[in-house]
Amino acid sequence: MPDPAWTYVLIFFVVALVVASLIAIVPGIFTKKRPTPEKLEPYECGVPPTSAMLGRFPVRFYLVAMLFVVFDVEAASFYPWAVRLRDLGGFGLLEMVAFIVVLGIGYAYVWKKGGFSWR
Amino acid sequence: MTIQGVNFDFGILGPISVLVITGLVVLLVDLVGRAVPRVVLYGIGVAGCAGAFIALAPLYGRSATTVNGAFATDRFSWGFSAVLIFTLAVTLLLSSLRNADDGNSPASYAALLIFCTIGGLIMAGATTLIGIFLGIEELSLALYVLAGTGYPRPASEEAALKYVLLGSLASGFLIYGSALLYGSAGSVSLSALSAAASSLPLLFVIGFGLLLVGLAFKLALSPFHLWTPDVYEGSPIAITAYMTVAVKAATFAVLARFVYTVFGHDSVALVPLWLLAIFSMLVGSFGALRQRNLKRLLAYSSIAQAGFMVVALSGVGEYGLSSLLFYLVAYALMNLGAFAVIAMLGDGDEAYADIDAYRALFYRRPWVAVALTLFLFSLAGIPGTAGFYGKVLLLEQGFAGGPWGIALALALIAGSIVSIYVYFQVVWAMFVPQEGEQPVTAGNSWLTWVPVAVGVAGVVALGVIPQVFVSIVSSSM
Repeated sequence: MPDPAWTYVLIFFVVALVVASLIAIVPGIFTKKRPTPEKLEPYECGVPPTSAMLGRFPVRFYLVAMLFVVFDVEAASFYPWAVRLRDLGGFGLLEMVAFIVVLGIGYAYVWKKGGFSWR
Repeated sequence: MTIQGVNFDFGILGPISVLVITGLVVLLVDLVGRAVPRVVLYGIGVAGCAGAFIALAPLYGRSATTVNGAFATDRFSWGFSAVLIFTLAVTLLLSSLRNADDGNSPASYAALLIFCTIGGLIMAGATTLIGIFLGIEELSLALYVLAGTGYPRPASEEAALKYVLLGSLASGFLIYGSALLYGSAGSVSLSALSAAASSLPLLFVIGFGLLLVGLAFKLALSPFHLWTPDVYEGSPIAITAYMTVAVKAATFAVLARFVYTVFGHDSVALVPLWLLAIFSMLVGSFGALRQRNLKRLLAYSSIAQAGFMVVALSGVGEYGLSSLLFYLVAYALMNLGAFAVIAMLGDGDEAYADIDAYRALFYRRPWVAVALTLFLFSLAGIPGTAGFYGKVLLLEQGFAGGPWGIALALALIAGSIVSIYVYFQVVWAMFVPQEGEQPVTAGNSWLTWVPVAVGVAGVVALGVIPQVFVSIVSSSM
Protein backbone atom coordinates (compact mmCIF):
# COMPACT_ATOMS: atom_id res chain seq x y z
CA MET A 1 0.00 0.00 0.00
CA PRO A 2 1.58 3.32 -1.01
CA ASP A 3 1.83 6.28 1.30
CA PRO A 4 -1.71 7.71 1.86
CA ALA A 5 -0.33 11.21 1.21
CA TRP A 6 -0.08 10.22 -2.46
CA THR A 7 -3.88 9.76 -2.57
CA TYR A 8 -4.18 13.52 -3.14
CA VAL A 9 -1.96 13.23 -6.20
CA LEU A 10 -4.19 10.46 -7.51
CA ILE A 11 -7.33 12.59 -6.89
CA PHE A 12 -5.65 15.49 -8.67
CA PHE A 13 -4.87 13.31 -11.69
CA VAL A 14 -8.43 11.94 -11.89
CA VAL A 15 -10.01 15.40 -11.60
CA ALA A 16 -7.62 16.83 -14.19
CA LEU A 17 -8.37 13.98 -16.59
CA VAL A 18 -12.16 14.28 -16.18
CA VAL A 19 -12.27 18.08 -16.48
CA ALA A 20 -9.93 18.17 -19.45
CA SER A 21 -11.89 15.46 -21.27
CA LEU A 22 -15.18 17.27 -20.61
CA ILE A 23 -13.83 20.56 -21.94
CA ALA A 24 -12.50 18.83 -25.03
CA ILE A 25 -15.52 16.64 -25.80
CA VAL A 26 -18.68 18.48 -24.64
CA PRO A 27 -18.45 21.52 -26.99
CA GLY A 28 -18.04 19.15 -29.94
CA ILE A 29 -21.37 17.50 -29.09
CA PHE A 30 -23.52 20.58 -28.36
CA THR A 31 -22.26 23.29 -30.78
CA LYS A 32 -23.28 23.95 -34.35
CA LYS A 33 -20.33 24.40 -36.75
CA ARG A 34 -20.52 27.46 -39.02
CA PRO A 35 -16.97 27.84 -40.39
CA THR A 36 -15.79 31.10 -42.01
CA PRO A 37 -12.37 31.74 -43.60
CA GLU A 38 -11.32 33.80 -40.55
CA LYS A 39 -12.24 31.03 -38.14
CA LEU A 40 -10.16 28.49 -40.03
CA GLU A 41 -6.95 30.53 -39.86
CA PRO A 42 -4.29 29.60 -37.31
CA TYR A 43 -4.74 31.62 -34.12
CA GLU A 44 -1.93 34.13 -33.63
CA CYS A 45 -3.31 36.42 -30.91
CA GLY A 46 -5.52 38.36 -33.36
CA VAL A 47 -2.72 39.21 -35.76
CA PRO A 48 -3.23 37.96 -39.33
CA PRO A 49 -0.55 35.35 -40.13
CA THR A 50 1.99 36.77 -42.55
CA SER A 51 4.24 33.93 -43.66
CA ALA A 52 4.58 30.17 -43.74
CA MET A 53 5.25 28.56 -40.36
CA LEU A 54 8.05 26.25 -41.43
CA GLY A 55 10.43 28.94 -42.63
CA ARG A 56 14.11 29.33 -41.74
CA PHE A 57 15.18 31.57 -38.88
CA PRO A 58 18.42 33.56 -38.84
CA VAL A 59 20.91 31.94 -36.48
CA ARG A 60 21.17 35.09 -34.34
CA PHE A 61 17.74 34.32 -32.87
CA TYR A 62 19.29 31.24 -31.31
CA LEU A 63 22.07 33.31 -29.77
CA VAL A 64 19.54 35.70 -28.24
CA ALA A 65 17.43 32.79 -27.01
CA MET A 66 20.46 31.13 -25.43
CA LEU A 67 21.56 34.29 -23.65
CA PHE A 68 17.99 34.82 -22.49
CA VAL A 69 17.80 31.33 -21.02
CA VAL A 70 21.14 31.77 -19.23
CA PHE A 71 20.24 35.06 -17.58
CA ASP A 72 16.65 34.03 -16.95
CA VAL A 73 17.72 30.96 -15.03
CA GLU A 74 20.24 33.03 -13.09
CA ALA A 75 17.49 35.49 -12.17
CA ALA A 76 15.23 32.64 -11.07
CA SER A 77 17.84 31.50 -8.57
CA PHE A 78 17.60 34.87 -6.81
CA TYR A 79 14.06 34.13 -5.63
CA PRO A 80 14.74 31.40 -3.06
CA TRP A 81 17.66 33.44 -1.77
CA ALA A 82 15.52 36.58 -1.42
CA VAL A 83 12.82 34.67 0.47
CA ARG A 84 15.32 33.30 2.99
CA LEU A 85 17.53 36.42 3.07
CA ARG A 86 17.22 37.09 6.83
CA ASP A 87 17.84 33.48 7.85
CA LEU A 88 20.89 33.10 5.63
CA GLY A 89 22.44 36.25 7.08
CA GLY A 90 25.88 37.55 6.17
CA PHE A 91 27.04 34.28 4.64
CA GLY A 92 24.05 34.21 2.30
CA LEU A 93 24.84 37.74 1.20
CA LEU A 94 28.51 36.88 0.58
CA GLU A 95 27.52 33.76 -1.33
CA MET A 96 25.20 35.80 -3.56
CA VAL A 97 27.88 38.44 -4.07
CA ALA A 98 30.30 35.71 -5.25
CA PHE A 99 27.56 34.36 -7.53
CA ILE A 100 26.89 37.79 -9.01
CA VAL A 101 30.61 38.45 -9.50
CA VAL A 102 30.98 35.23 -11.51
CA LEU A 103 27.83 36.08 -13.45
CA GLY A 104 29.01 39.67 -13.92
CA ILE A 105 32.32 38.58 -15.42
CA GLY A 106 30.45 36.37 -17.86
CA TYR A 107 28.07 39.25 -18.66
CA ALA A 108 30.91 41.68 -19.25
CA TYR A 109 32.68 39.12 -21.45
CA VAL A 110 29.61 38.55 -23.63
CA TRP A 111 29.05 42.31 -23.88
CA LYS A 112 32.67 43.08 -24.83
CA LYS A 113 32.71 40.30 -27.42
CA GLY A 114 29.59 41.76 -29.07
CA GLY A 115 27.19 39.02 -28.02
CA PHE A 116 24.38 41.56 -27.54
CA SER A 117 24.77 43.43 -30.81
CA TRP A 118 22.41 42.50 -33.63
CA ARG A 119 24.71 41.62 -36.50
CA MET B 1 33.75 25.86 9.22
CA THR B 2 30.01 25.24 9.55
CA ILE B 3 27.57 27.72 8.07
CA GLN B 4 23.79 27.30 8.22
CA GLY B 5 24.15 23.60 8.97
CA VAL B 6 26.49 23.01 5.99
CA ASN B 7 30.13 22.34 6.76
CA PHE B 8 32.78 23.66 4.40
CA ASP B 9 36.40 22.56 4.29
CA PHE B 10 38.09 24.94 1.89
CA GLY B 11 41.24 22.82 2.02
CA ILE B 12 39.42 19.94 0.33
CA LEU B 13 37.76 22.32 -2.13
CA GLY B 14 41.12 24.07 -2.70
CA PRO B 15 42.07 22.70 -6.16
CA ILE B 16 38.58 23.46 -7.49
CA SER B 17 38.63 26.99 -6.03
CA VAL B 18 42.05 27.69 -7.58
CA LEU B 19 40.85 26.58 -11.01
CA VAL B 20 37.62 28.62 -10.75
CA ILE B 21 39.66 31.74 -10.01
CA THR B 22 42.10 30.88 -12.83
CA GLY B 23 39.25 30.60 -15.33
CA LEU B 24 37.79 33.93 -14.28
CA VAL B 25 41.24 35.61 -14.38
CA VAL B 26 41.77 34.36 -17.94
CA LEU B 27 38.45 35.93 -19.00
CA LEU B 28 39.19 39.18 -17.15
CA VAL B 29 42.68 39.51 -18.65
CA ASP B 30 41.24 39.15 -22.12
CA LEU B 31 38.48 41.62 -21.20
CA VAL B 32 40.79 44.32 -19.87
CA GLY B 33 43.82 43.82 -22.09
CA ARG B 34 43.96 44.71 -25.76
CA ALA B 35 44.73 41.77 -28.09
CA VAL B 36 46.40 39.67 -25.40
CA PRO B 37 48.64 37.06 -27.08
CA ARG B 38 47.25 33.60 -26.56
CA VAL B 39 50.51 32.29 -25.10
CA VAL B 40 49.89 34.64 -22.14
CA LEU B 41 46.34 33.35 -21.64
CA TYR B 42 47.40 29.72 -21.85
CA GLY B 43 50.35 30.53 -19.59
CA ILE B 44 47.92 31.78 -16.94
CA GLY B 45 46.04 28.52 -17.35
CA VAL B 46 49.20 26.43 -16.87
CA ALA B 47 50.11 28.54 -13.81
CA GLY B 48 46.61 27.82 -12.49
CA CYS B 49 47.29 24.09 -12.97
CA ALA B 50 50.47 24.45 -10.92
CA GLY B 51 48.48 26.32 -8.25
CA ALA B 52 45.77 23.66 -8.24
CA PHE B 53 48.42 20.97 -7.83
CA ILE B 54 49.97 22.86 -4.91
CA ALA B 55 46.50 22.98 -3.32
CA LEU B 56 46.04 19.28 -4.06
CA ALA B 57 49.42 18.05 -2.76
CA PRO B 58 48.73 18.40 1.01
CA LEU B 59 45.54 16.34 0.61
CA TYR B 60 47.59 13.22 -0.25
CA GLY B 61 46.75 10.36 2.09
CA ARG B 62 43.97 12.33 3.73
CA SER B 63 40.48 10.89 3.85
CA ALA B 64 37.65 13.30 4.62
CA THR B 65 34.38 14.66 3.33
CA THR B 66 32.94 18.14 3.12
CA VAL B 67 29.68 19.90 2.16
CA ASN B 68 27.80 17.52 4.49
CA GLY B 69 29.40 14.42 3.01
CA ALA B 70 28.62 15.31 -0.61
CA PHE B 71 32.25 15.77 -1.66
CA ALA B 72 35.07 13.48 -0.60
CA THR B 73 38.82 13.46 -0.76
CA ASP B 74 40.69 10.19 -0.44
CA ARG B 75 43.67 8.54 -2.09
CA PHE B 76 41.43 7.44 -4.94
CA SER B 77 40.04 10.88 -5.80
CA TRP B 78 43.51 12.39 -5.22
CA GLY B 79 45.00 10.24 -7.98
CA PHE B 80 42.23 11.06 -10.44
CA SER B 81 42.42 14.77 -9.63
CA ALA B 82 46.18 14.75 -10.25
CA VAL B 83 45.68 13.06 -13.66
CA LEU B 84 42.99 15.60 -14.59
CA ILE B 85 45.12 18.63 -13.67
CA PHE B 86 48.10 17.17 -15.56
CA THR B 87 45.91 16.57 -18.62
CA LEU B 88 44.68 20.16 -18.50
CA ALA B 89 48.24 21.49 -18.40
CA VAL B 90 49.32 19.32 -21.36
CA THR B 91 46.23 20.31 -23.36
CA LEU B 92 46.93 24.00 -22.79
CA LEU B 93 50.52 23.47 -23.96
CA LEU B 94 49.38 21.68 -27.12
CA SER B 95 46.77 24.39 -27.77
CA SER B 96 49.39 27.13 -27.81
CA LEU B 97 51.08 25.75 -30.95
CA ARG B 98 51.15 28.02 -33.97
CA ASN B 99 48.56 26.19 -36.10
CA ALA B 100 46.36 24.94 -33.27
CA ASP B 101 42.60 25.43 -33.65
CA ASP B 102 41.18 27.51 -30.88
CA GLY B 103 38.40 29.23 -32.78
CA ASN B 104 40.34 32.56 -32.71
CA SER B 105 39.02 33.11 -29.21
CA PRO B 106 41.81 31.88 -26.94
CA ALA B 107 40.37 33.33 -23.72
CA SER B 108 37.04 31.56 -23.93
CA TYR B 109 38.81 28.43 -25.21
CA ALA B 110 41.17 28.35 -22.22
CA ALA B 111 38.39 29.24 -19.77
CA LEU B 112 36.16 26.48 -21.14
CA LEU B 113 38.98 23.94 -20.82
CA ILE B 114 39.54 25.01 -17.22
CA PHE B 115 35.80 24.83 -16.40
CA CYS B 116 35.73 21.40 -18.03
CA THR B 117 38.44 20.21 -15.68
CA ILE B 118 36.54 21.63 -12.69
CA GLY B 119 33.65 19.40 -13.75
CA GLY B 120 36.06 16.46 -13.81
CA LEU B 121 37.37 17.29 -10.33
CA ILE B 122 33.78 17.44 -9.03
CA MET B 123 33.16 14.01 -10.56
CA ALA B 124 36.31 12.59 -8.93
CA GLY B 125 35.09 13.53 -5.45
CA ALA B 126 31.30 13.50 -5.74
CA THR B 127 29.54 11.07 -3.41
CA THR B 128 25.94 11.92 -4.32
CA LEU B 129 23.97 11.43 -7.51
CA ILE B 130 23.42 15.18 -7.75
CA GLY B 131 27.13 15.94 -7.47
CA ILE B 132 27.91 13.30 -10.11
CA PHE B 133 25.37 14.76 -12.54
CA LEU B 134 26.55 18.31 -11.90
CA GLY B 135 30.16 17.33 -12.63
CA ILE B 136 29.30 15.36 -15.77
CA GLU B 137 27.23 18.22 -17.17
CA GLU B 138 29.89 20.82 -16.48
CA LEU B 139 32.47 18.62 -18.18
CA SER B 140 30.25 17.82 -21.17
CA LEU B 141 28.71 21.22 -21.88
CA ALA B 142 32.12 22.86 -22.17
CA LEU B 143 33.44 20.01 -24.34
CA TYR B 144 30.53 20.29 -26.80
CA VAL B 145 31.71 23.81 -27.59
CA LEU B 146 35.40 22.90 -27.61
CA ALA B 147 34.79 20.07 -30.12
CA GLY B 148 33.61 22.72 -32.57
CA THR B 149 36.45 25.23 -32.20
CA GLY B 150 38.10 23.97 -35.39
CA TYR B 151 35.20 25.92 -36.90
CA PRO B 152 35.85 26.43 -40.64
CA ARG B 153 36.70 22.74 -40.97
CA PRO B 154 33.38 20.95 -41.63
CA ALA B 155 34.60 17.88 -39.72
CA SER B 156 34.87 19.94 -36.54
CA GLU B 157 31.31 21.27 -36.90
CA GLU B 158 30.12 17.73 -37.51
CA ALA B 159 31.99 16.56 -34.42
CA ALA B 160 30.40 19.25 -32.24
CA LEU B 161 26.89 18.49 -33.52
CA LYS B 162 27.24 14.72 -33.10
CA TYR B 163 28.75 15.14 -29.67
CA VAL B 164 26.05 17.50 -28.40
CA LEU B 165 23.15 15.41 -29.75
CA LEU B 166 24.37 12.05 -28.46
CA GLY B 167 25.84 13.56 -25.30
CA SER B 168 22.56 15.17 -24.30
CA LEU B 169 20.75 11.91 -25.01
CA ALA B 170 23.20 10.19 -22.67
CA SER B 171 22.61 12.88 -20.05
CA GLY B 172 18.90 12.16 -20.33
CA PHE B 173 19.52 8.49 -19.53
CA LEU B 174 21.80 9.50 -16.70
CA ILE B 175 19.37 11.89 -15.00
CA TYR B 176 16.41 9.54 -15.41
CA GLY B 177 18.42 6.66 -13.97
CA SER B 178 19.48 8.88 -11.07
CA ALA B 179 15.85 9.81 -10.40
CA LEU B 180 14.81 6.15 -10.27
CA LEU B 181 17.76 5.29 -8.02
CA TYR B 182 16.69 8.12 -5.73
CA GLY B 183 13.19 6.70 -5.77
CA SER B 184 14.41 3.24 -4.78
CA ALA B 185 16.62 4.40 -1.90
CA GLY B 186 15.00 7.65 -0.77
CA SER B 187 18.38 9.37 -0.77
CA VAL B 188 20.83 10.71 -3.33
CA SER B 189 23.94 9.65 -1.41
CA LEU B 190 25.78 6.61 -2.74
CA SER B 191 26.22 5.05 0.69
CA ALA B 192 22.43 5.08 1.19
CA LEU B 193 22.01 3.31 -2.16
CA SER B 194 24.02 0.31 -1.00
CA ALA B 195 21.09 -0.83 1.17
CA ALA B 196 18.89 -1.02 -1.92
CA ALA B 197 21.70 -2.75 -3.85
CA SER B 198 21.69 -5.74 -1.51
CA SER B 199 18.07 -6.69 -2.29
CA LEU B 200 17.98 -5.32 -5.88
CA PRO B 201 14.38 -4.01 -6.10
CA LEU B 202 13.04 -3.49 -9.62
CA LEU B 203 13.24 0.31 -9.39
CA PHE B 204 16.92 0.09 -8.45
CA VAL B 205 17.72 -2.30 -11.31
CA ILE B 206 16.04 -0.08 -13.93
CA GLY B 207 17.67 3.02 -12.46
CA PHE B 208 21.12 1.46 -12.43
CA GLY B 209 20.62 0.20 -15.98
CA LEU B 210 19.81 3.70 -17.24
CA LEU B 211 22.70 5.21 -15.28
CA LEU B 212 25.05 2.62 -16.76
CA VAL B 213 23.89 3.46 -20.29
CA GLY B 214 24.59 7.13 -19.63
CA LEU B 215 28.06 6.45 -18.24
CA ALA B 216 28.84 4.00 -21.07
CA PHE B 217 28.01 6.76 -23.58
CA LYS B 218 30.49 9.09 -21.90
CA LEU B 219 33.13 6.35 -21.64
CA ALA B 220 32.52 5.29 -25.26
CA LEU B 221 31.97 1.69 -24.23
CA SER B 222 30.66 -0.37 -27.13
CA PRO B 223 27.79 -0.49 -28.30
CA PHE B 224 27.49 3.15 -27.18
CA HIS B 225 30.70 4.12 -29.00
CA LEU B 226 29.36 5.09 -32.43
CA TRP B 227 29.96 8.81 -31.95
CA THR B 228 33.56 8.32 -30.85
CA PRO B 229 35.58 7.98 -34.10
CA ASP B 230 33.86 10.93 -35.80
CA VAL B 231 34.05 13.22 -32.79
CA TYR B 232 37.68 12.36 -32.04
CA GLU B 233 38.67 12.77 -35.68
CA GLY B 234 36.86 16.07 -36.17
CA SER B 235 37.80 17.87 -32.97
CA PRO B 236 41.00 19.94 -32.81
CA ILE B 237 43.91 17.72 -31.87
CA ALA B 238 44.49 19.15 -28.38
CA ILE B 239 40.81 18.67 -27.55
CA THR B 240 40.91 15.08 -28.82
CA ALA B 241 43.86 14.42 -26.52
CA TYR B 242 41.92 15.98 -23.64
CA MET B 243 38.77 13.96 -24.38
CA THR B 244 40.54 10.61 -24.57
CA VAL B 245 42.19 11.08 -21.17
CA ALA B 246 40.22 13.53 -19.03
CA VAL B 247 36.68 12.41 -19.87
CA LYS B 248 37.65 8.78 -19.36
CA ALA B 249 39.46 9.50 -16.10
CA ALA B 250 36.59 11.49 -14.61
CA THR B 251 33.90 9.05 -15.73
CA PHE B 252 35.91 6.09 -14.46
CA ALA B 253 36.22 7.85 -11.11
CA VAL B 254 32.41 8.03 -10.97
CA LEU B 255 31.92 4.46 -12.16
CA ALA B 256 34.48 2.98 -9.75
CA ARG B 257 33.17 4.96 -6.79
CA PHE B 258 29.63 3.90 -7.64
CA VAL B 259 30.54 0.22 -7.98
CA TYR B 260 32.65 0.13 -4.82
CA THR B 261 30.37 2.23 -2.59
CA VAL B 262 26.99 0.96 -3.74
CA PHE B 263 27.75 -2.72 -4.40
CA GLY B 264 30.95 -3.33 -2.44
CA HIS B 265 31.00 -6.91 -3.75
CA ASP B 266 30.41 -8.69 -7.01
CA SER B 267 26.73 -8.45 -7.89
CA VAL B 268 24.56 -9.87 -10.63
CA ALA B 269 23.56 -6.28 -11.47
CA LEU B 270 27.11 -5.68 -12.72
CA VAL B 271 26.93 -8.35 -15.45
CA PRO B 272 25.83 -5.77 -18.08
CA LEU B 273 28.95 -3.77 -17.28
CA TRP B 274 31.17 -6.81 -17.84
CA LEU B 275 29.42 -7.50 -21.15
CA LEU B 276 29.90 -3.89 -22.25
CA ALA B 277 33.60 -4.18 -21.43
CA ILE B 278 34.12 -7.44 -23.36
CA PHE B 279 32.27 -5.96 -26.33
CA SER B 280 34.35 -2.76 -26.21
CA MET B 281 37.68 -4.58 -26.12
CA LEU B 282 36.80 -6.58 -29.22
CA VAL B 283 35.06 -3.78 -31.17
CA GLY B 284 37.81 -1.27 -30.34
CA SER B 285 40.67 -3.59 -31.29
CA PHE B 286 39.13 -4.91 -34.51
CA GLY B 287 37.75 -1.49 -35.47
CA ALA B 288 41.24 0.02 -35.34
CA LEU B 289 42.59 -2.53 -37.84
CA ARG B 290 41.65 -0.70 -41.01
CA GLN B 291 41.99 2.93 -39.92
CA ARG B 292 44.27 5.12 -42.02
CA ASN B 293 43.93 8.21 -39.84
CA LEU B 294 45.95 8.21 -36.65
CA LYS B 295 43.35 10.22 -34.68
CA ARG B 296 40.68 7.75 -35.73
CA LEU B 297 42.97 4.84 -34.93
CA LEU B 298 43.57 6.22 -31.44
CA ALA B 299 39.81 6.76 -31.07
CA TYR B 300 39.17 3.05 -31.66
CA SER B 301 42.10 2.21 -29.42
CA SER B 302 40.58 4.35 -26.67
CA ILE B 303 37.35 2.34 -26.93
CA ALA B 304 39.37 -0.83 -26.34
CA GLN B 305 41.37 0.84 -23.54
CA ALA B 306 38.13 1.81 -21.76
CA GLY B 307 37.13 -1.84 -21.90
CA PHE B 308 40.54 -2.86 -20.49
CA MET B 309 40.11 -0.48 -17.56
CA VAL B 310 36.76 -2.04 -16.60
CA VAL B 311 38.68 -5.29 -15.95
CA ALA B 312 40.17 -3.57 -12.88
CA LEU B 313 36.68 -3.45 -11.37
CA SER B 314 35.85 -7.11 -12.08
CA GLY B 315 34.98 -8.97 -8.95
CA VAL B 316 35.17 -5.65 -7.06
CA GLY B 317 38.49 -6.90 -5.66
CA GLU B 318 40.63 -5.41 -2.94
CA TYR B 319 43.29 -4.00 -5.29
CA GLY B 320 40.90 -3.06 -8.06
CA LEU B 321 41.08 0.68 -7.44
CA SER B 322 44.88 0.67 -7.28
CA SER B 323 45.12 -1.26 -10.57
CA LEU B 324 42.64 1.09 -12.21
CA LEU B 325 44.58 4.14 -11.08
CA PHE B 326 47.93 2.67 -12.18
CA TYR B 327 46.57 1.84 -15.62
CA LEU B 328 44.96 5.25 -15.91
CA VAL B 329 48.23 7.05 -15.10
CA ALA B 330 50.02 4.89 -17.69
CA TYR B 331 47.25 5.55 -20.23
CA ALA B 332 47.37 9.30 -19.61
CA LEU B 333 51.15 9.39 -20.15
CA MET B 334 51.23 7.28 -23.31
CA ASN B 335 48.11 8.70 -24.92
CA LEU B 336 48.95 12.35 -24.24
CA GLY B 337 52.48 11.59 -25.46
CA ALA B 338 51.19 10.12 -28.73
CA PHE B 339 48.88 13.09 -29.31
CA ALA B 340 51.71 15.50 -28.47
CA VAL B 341 53.80 13.87 -31.21
CA ILE B 342 50.97 14.20 -33.75
CA ALA B 343 50.49 17.84 -32.73
CA MET B 344 54.24 18.52 -32.85
CA LEU B 345 54.76 17.25 -36.40
CA GLY B 346 52.13 19.56 -37.83
CA ASP B 347 52.76 22.35 -35.30
CA GLY B 348 49.18 21.90 -34.09
CA ASP B 349 47.84 21.40 -37.60
CA GLU B 350 45.70 18.43 -38.64
CA ALA B 351 48.01 17.46 -41.52
CA TYR B 352 49.82 14.81 -39.50
CA ALA B 353 46.73 12.80 -38.66
CA ASP B 354 47.07 10.66 -41.78
CA ILE B 355 49.15 7.50 -41.48
CA ASP B 356 50.89 8.12 -44.83
CA ALA B 357 52.55 11.22 -43.40
CA TYR B 358 54.51 8.94 -41.07
CA ARG B 359 56.23 6.95 -43.82
CA ALA B 360 59.97 6.81 -43.18
CA LEU B 361 59.61 9.33 -40.39
CA PHE B 362 62.57 7.73 -38.60
CA TYR B 363 64.97 8.98 -41.29
CA ARG B 364 63.67 12.54 -41.05
CA ARG B 365 62.97 12.97 -37.32
CA PRO B 366 64.58 10.02 -35.53
CA TRP B 367 63.88 11.13 -31.95
CA VAL B 368 60.24 11.88 -32.66
CA ALA B 369 59.81 8.50 -34.32
CA VAL B 370 61.45 6.72 -31.39
CA ALA B 371 59.21 8.55 -28.88
CA LEU B 372 56.05 7.72 -30.85
CA THR B 373 57.19 4.10 -31.12
CA LEU B 374 57.59 3.94 -27.37
CA PHE B 375 54.08 5.33 -26.80
CA LEU B 376 52.56 2.90 -29.30
CA PHE B 377 54.48 -0.04 -27.76
CA SER B 378 53.12 0.99 -24.38
CA LEU B 379 49.57 1.20 -25.73
CA ALA B 380 50.04 -2.29 -27.20
CA GLY B 381 51.44 -3.58 -23.90
CA ILE B 382 55.00 -4.57 -24.87
CA PRO B 383 57.13 -5.60 -21.84
CA GLY B 384 59.32 -2.86 -20.40
CA THR B 385 56.69 -0.16 -20.85
CA ALA B 386 54.04 1.25 -18.54
CA GLY B 387 51.23 -0.33 -20.55
CA PHE B 388 52.64 -3.82 -20.00
CA TYR B 389 52.74 -3.63 -16.22
CA GLY B 390 49.32 -1.93 -16.21
CA LYS B 391 47.87 -4.84 -18.15
CA VAL B 392 49.55 -7.32 -15.79
CA LEU B 393 47.79 -5.65 -12.85
CA LEU B 394 44.46 -5.70 -14.73
CA LEU B 395 44.84 -9.39 -15.58
CA GLU B 396 45.60 -10.15 -11.95
CA GLN B 397 42.28 -8.55 -11.00
CA GLY B 398 40.47 -10.39 -13.76
CA PHE B 399 41.78 -13.86 -12.91
CA ALA B 400 40.97 -13.28 -9.22
CA GLY B 401 37.44 -12.16 -10.04
CA GLY B 402 35.35 -15.30 -10.63
CA PRO B 403 33.97 -16.55 -13.97
CA TRP B 404 33.14 -13.09 -15.32
CA GLY B 405 36.57 -11.83 -14.31
CA ILE B 406 38.22 -14.69 -16.22
CA ALA B 407 36.06 -13.95 -19.27
CA LEU B 408 37.11 -10.30 -19.07
CA ALA B 409 40.77 -11.25 -18.71
CA LEU B 410 40.60 -13.53 -21.76
CA ALA B 411 38.95 -10.73 -23.77
CA LEU B 412 41.74 -8.41 -22.64
CA ILE B 413 44.37 -10.83 -23.95
CA ALA B 414 42.52 -11.26 -27.27
CA GLY B 415 42.06 -7.51 -27.68
CA SER B 416 45.72 -6.85 -26.88
CA ILE B 417 46.93 -9.36 -29.47
CA VAL B 418 44.83 -7.72 -32.19
CA SER B 419 45.91 -4.24 -31.13
CA ILE B 420 49.60 -5.17 -31.35
CA TYR B 421 49.09 -5.55 -35.11
CA VAL B 422 47.29 -2.20 -35.22
CA TYR B 423 50.11 -0.28 -33.57
CA PHE B 424 52.84 -2.13 -35.48
CA GLN B 425 51.36 -0.91 -38.76
CA VAL B 426 52.23 2.64 -37.71
CA VAL B 427 55.67 1.67 -36.37
CA TRP B 428 56.35 -0.24 -39.59
CA ALA B 429 55.47 2.79 -41.67
CA MET B 430 57.86 4.95 -39.66
CA PHE B 431 60.88 2.66 -39.94
CA VAL B 432 60.71 1.35 -43.51
CA PRO B 433 62.84 3.57 -45.79
CA GLN B 434 61.01 5.13 -48.69
CA GLU B 435 62.13 6.59 -52.01
CA GLY B 436 60.85 9.78 -53.52
CA GLU B 437 59.16 12.84 -52.18
CA GLN B 438 58.33 12.87 -48.49
CA PRO B 439 56.04 15.20 -46.56
CA VAL B 440 57.78 18.02 -44.75
CA THR B 441 57.36 18.11 -40.99
CA ALA B 442 56.65 21.57 -39.73
CA GLY B 443 57.00 21.95 -36.03
CA ASN B 444 59.66 21.47 -33.43
CA SER B 445 58.27 23.64 -30.65
CA TRP B 446 59.73 23.09 -27.18
CA LEU B 447 56.16 23.36 -25.87
CA THR B 448 55.40 19.93 -27.29
CA TRP B 449 58.74 18.49 -26.25
CA VAL B 450 57.66 18.98 -22.62
CA PRO B 451 54.69 16.57 -22.71
CA VAL B 452 56.63 14.18 -25.00
CA ALA B 453 59.60 14.11 -22.60
CA VAL B 454 57.36 13.71 -19.54
CA GLY B 455 55.50 10.94 -21.36
CA VAL B 456 58.68 9.09 -22.34
CA ALA B 457 60.12 9.37 -18.83
CA GLY B 458 56.83 8.26 -17.27
CA VAL B 459 56.23 5.34 -19.62
CA VAL B 460 59.76 4.02 -19.08
CA ALA B 461 59.72 4.58 -15.31
CA LEU B 462 56.31 2.93 -14.85
CA GLY B 463 57.45 0.04 -17.02
CA VAL B 464 60.88 -0.57 -15.47
CA ILE B 465 60.35 0.21 -11.77
CA PRO B 466 56.58 -0.18 -11.34
CA GLN B 467 56.82 -1.17 -7.65
CA VAL B 468 57.64 2.41 -6.67
CA PHE B 469 54.49 3.72 -8.31
CA VAL B 470 52.21 0.92 -7.19
CA SER B 471 52.65 2.05 -3.59
CA ILE B 472 51.95 5.67 -4.55
CA VAL B 473 48.73 4.86 -6.37
CA SER B 474 47.58 2.21 -3.89
CA SER B 475 44.20 3.62 -3.13
CA SER B 476 41.08 3.13 -1.18
CA MET B 477 37.99 5.19 -0.55
